Amino acid sequence: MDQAEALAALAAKEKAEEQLAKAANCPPWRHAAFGLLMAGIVASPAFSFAIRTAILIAVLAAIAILVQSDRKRTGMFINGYRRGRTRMVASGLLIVVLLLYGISTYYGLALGDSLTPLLLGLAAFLIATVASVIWERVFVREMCA
Amino acid sequence: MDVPNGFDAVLHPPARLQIAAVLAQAQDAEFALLRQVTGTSDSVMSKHLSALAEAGYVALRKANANGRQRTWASLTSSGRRAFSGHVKALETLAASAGLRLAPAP
Repeated sequence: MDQAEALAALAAKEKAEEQLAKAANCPPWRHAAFGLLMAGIVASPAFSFAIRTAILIAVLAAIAILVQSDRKRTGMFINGYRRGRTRMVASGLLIVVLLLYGISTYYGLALGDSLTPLLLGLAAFLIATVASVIWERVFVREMCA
Repeated sequence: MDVPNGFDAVLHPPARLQIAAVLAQAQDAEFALLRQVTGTSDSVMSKHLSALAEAGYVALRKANANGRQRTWASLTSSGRRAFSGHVKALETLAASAGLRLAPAP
């Protein structure tokens, strides 16, 4: 094996990563669907225990459906918490969603205020949808670097 | 020139390196996607996947979808280590020549 072969092998690897980035392209509805799931979790304290439980079960079921949909659409599944620069985006979003959920729980369950959790749910939808778009851009940039 | 530490003969063929590169990023990937990325035929892809599975680098599973059986592959932890070591060996070898990586065609 010589230097030229090593360079050719690395170029082949980079080409595969670029193709992977293209194949991983997410349509807008996919970003919005993720945002909706996060919104459901954050807004759930606005409702009674029975509805809250139903929302959380629906979110879990929807996550499984989204994973299946990704596999069917792209022929693969990429974990949001994969190693790399995207983990910063995923971790940052997790912290923000947990924070919003904590505030929502306080207002919804301790203070009996159902409007604030709904507004926080809307904020979670927007933040998570934008974070999903950013995640994809960071991933593509990393694969095409 | 000596082959650097980490060089892995199983991952040496470009198609296998490309398969490992995809699986290093994705949790799992379907046969058809891997064939598309590597630009190989079904039979060649099967041989590469079998070789990687035999080395313990790739785990294969069959799943039914729309009445058809499909093959899914994922990188094992030893496959991940081997891929990482092999890429480092390639980079060492490439850097030792003082050359810069050309963009992929």
